Amino acid sequence: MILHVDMDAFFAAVEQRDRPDLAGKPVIVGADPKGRGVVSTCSYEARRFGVRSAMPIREAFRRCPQGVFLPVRMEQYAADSRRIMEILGRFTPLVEPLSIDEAFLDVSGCERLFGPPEQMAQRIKQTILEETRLPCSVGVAPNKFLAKLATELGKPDGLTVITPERVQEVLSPLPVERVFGVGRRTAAVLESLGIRTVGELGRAPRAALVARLGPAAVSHMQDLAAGRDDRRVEPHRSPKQLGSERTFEHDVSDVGEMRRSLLALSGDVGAGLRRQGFTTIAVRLKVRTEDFATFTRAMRLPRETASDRTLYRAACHLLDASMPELPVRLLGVAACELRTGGEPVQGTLFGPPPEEVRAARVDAAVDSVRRRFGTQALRPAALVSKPKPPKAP
Amino acid sequence: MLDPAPSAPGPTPNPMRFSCHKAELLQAVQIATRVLPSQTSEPLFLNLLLTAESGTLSVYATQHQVSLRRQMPIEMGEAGKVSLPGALLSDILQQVQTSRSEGVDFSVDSERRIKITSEGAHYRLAGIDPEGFPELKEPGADKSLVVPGALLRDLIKRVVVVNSAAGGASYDEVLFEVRDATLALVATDSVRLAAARHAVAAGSPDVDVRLPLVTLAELGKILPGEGDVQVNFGSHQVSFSFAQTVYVARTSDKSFPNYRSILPKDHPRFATVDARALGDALKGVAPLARVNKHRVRLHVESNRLRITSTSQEVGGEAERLVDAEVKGDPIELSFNSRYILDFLGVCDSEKVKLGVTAGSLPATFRPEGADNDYVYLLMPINL
Repeated sequence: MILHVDMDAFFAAVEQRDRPDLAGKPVIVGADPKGRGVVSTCSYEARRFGVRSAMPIREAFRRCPQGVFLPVRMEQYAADSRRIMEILGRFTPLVEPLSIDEAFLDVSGCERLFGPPEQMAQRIKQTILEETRLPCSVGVAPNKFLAKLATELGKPDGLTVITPERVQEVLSPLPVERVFGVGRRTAAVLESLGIRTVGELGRAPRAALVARLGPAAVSHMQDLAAGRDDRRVEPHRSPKQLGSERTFEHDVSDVGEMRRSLLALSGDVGAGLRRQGFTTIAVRLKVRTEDFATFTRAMRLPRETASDRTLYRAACHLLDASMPELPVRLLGVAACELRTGGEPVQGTLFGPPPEEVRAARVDAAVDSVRRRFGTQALRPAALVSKPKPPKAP
Repeated sequence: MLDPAPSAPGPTPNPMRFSCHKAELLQAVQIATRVLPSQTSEPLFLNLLLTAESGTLSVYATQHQVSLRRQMPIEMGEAGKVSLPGALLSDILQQVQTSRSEGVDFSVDSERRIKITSEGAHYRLAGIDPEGFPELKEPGADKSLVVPGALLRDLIKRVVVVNSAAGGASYDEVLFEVRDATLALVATDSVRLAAARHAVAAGSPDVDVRLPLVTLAELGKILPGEGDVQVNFGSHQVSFSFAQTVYVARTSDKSFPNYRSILPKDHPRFATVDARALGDALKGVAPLARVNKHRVRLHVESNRLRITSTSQEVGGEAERLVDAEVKGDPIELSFNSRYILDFLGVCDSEKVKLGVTAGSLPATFRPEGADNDYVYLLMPINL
């Protein structure tokens, strides 16, 4: 059996725990409500006002002006995340973290120690609550897809079990969007074929679907619709990508400003890669224009890198090749095929070292300065804004 | 319109005749043909020149970079000279070795037809006009050095292992230097540098020449283990004379990096290990290093070297431990294991001393107790 553990409104819950005066209030963690960023997480109280994750923060402010808007305290959340993952590790070594606040556990064979899976799920919920004072929801099911679905069905503070016998009963009435991989576009295609529920998707003739959606996607969807998912819990799976994005204060048409933004974003991504010991072989650029149309462009690199400069060059290349006509609202840079270890470069006795090596030395030096003096201590000159003229006395 | 030039009549070929020991002749021809290129646009260079004169046969081969003349005693018939394809002669003489006689008769008639005879074995082939065969230019003995053949052979062996440019500039010549009565041979392929040194007779002249690495490697293969070698330095050539052989190499005028400036004076860490154990450990982790271009990780620990290799492709890892006498703090570096094995193959020492500073600076490998005789500098792999 698989357990899926997901913290409830994680960032907001951490804030409410640390500031008891916020209990029961709509808490919205994210960007500056006067700015143009987005909501990271909001408490269930805020959700009642229609606030959602990833919603533009101003929209959240419009819907819930009485909400408590707080900045993201990632270090605190990361510390709580580590405690939670450590707790999960006490129950089974087969813990696969999915994100900062979510994990799969394979508990097959742990019954002798911790009792039946439902009982174990209860103990996990209780232990996390006792040790971190944070609520979570747990789903118990025969596979990953169903376990995650069970969690969603029970949120918040839920414990939902989908036994093999109940799979069809639970799945059939759900809308097709609940199937992983079915987005808005696929859902529209399915709807045009008269398919709205998971049950209908499972029963639909394969040939009719394949003609519209392709064989691989259909096999995947119908497997999930039937409750079949044989992905294993992989405890050491590394994250697949690492990115950073930024919404501009005002929509931008100036290429120079876009490049400066890419420089900053590439620096964030590079620093993140190096901190975690990753390199990447591919870079993705994300662009959102003023009309909210969003597109991404990706390229593979000739060799693995964790260098700010190489990431920046690739991002600029992608931007140049797909320069949007409309002003840009958001830019994002992501390292999208992560590797561990890095590609080695044979050093040479004479002449300058290879460029990758020089770039790595610069990055390492910058990283060490920032670790001591803070991330703002050393930045590319292009990112330093002009000092304000001193005020007249 | 001009008439086609009449073919030069040339002097009537002299008949030539000699007898000699068949194995000795084969050896002389085999050594001489070594300098012939296997492929060339100049067919002349595929030929040998044989000259019989006053009881001595000279077998001479030449090409752009090197020339070789080998002499041997013969039983004179008639003096003369002839040119003929070296590879073919070598092949024939190899087959002649199975004849019943120890001797072989060699003759050229006035039509320049060659006859090679040993009891029960007869070969005929057409000879080539020896006129125009480039002459051997042998530098004079004004500037010369005498070294034992075995010593020169060992020095060459220790530097010519450095012969693959794995990146960056490649230097395909060897520095041949005499300074303060010390002979130093230095080779580098920009990833590693080998410097082999030994004292030579006091009063030896200071010299500084560069020779193609392949030329020196070939010389190393034919140098005898006994007797001395006289080395004469000319303006563009260096000759090596030993046991009836003269090997003349053209010097290179390409620049050689200033190797003294990159030899580390000292290291913060040293590890002394058994050479064989280190070799076994490096080979031991090879199965998982192969896919990574032989990259291995060397962990210098408090009393041992830990050598590991990992392969993400197959998801595997190998580890071998070698006892070591370590001075300095622990450190980890990556190397191409083949380059270390190259050193171990020629260091001729029971124990070797490894000096390391950092992952981005060259490490040194030396035979223990003979620090100055041989230094093998190797750049780590940067991660």
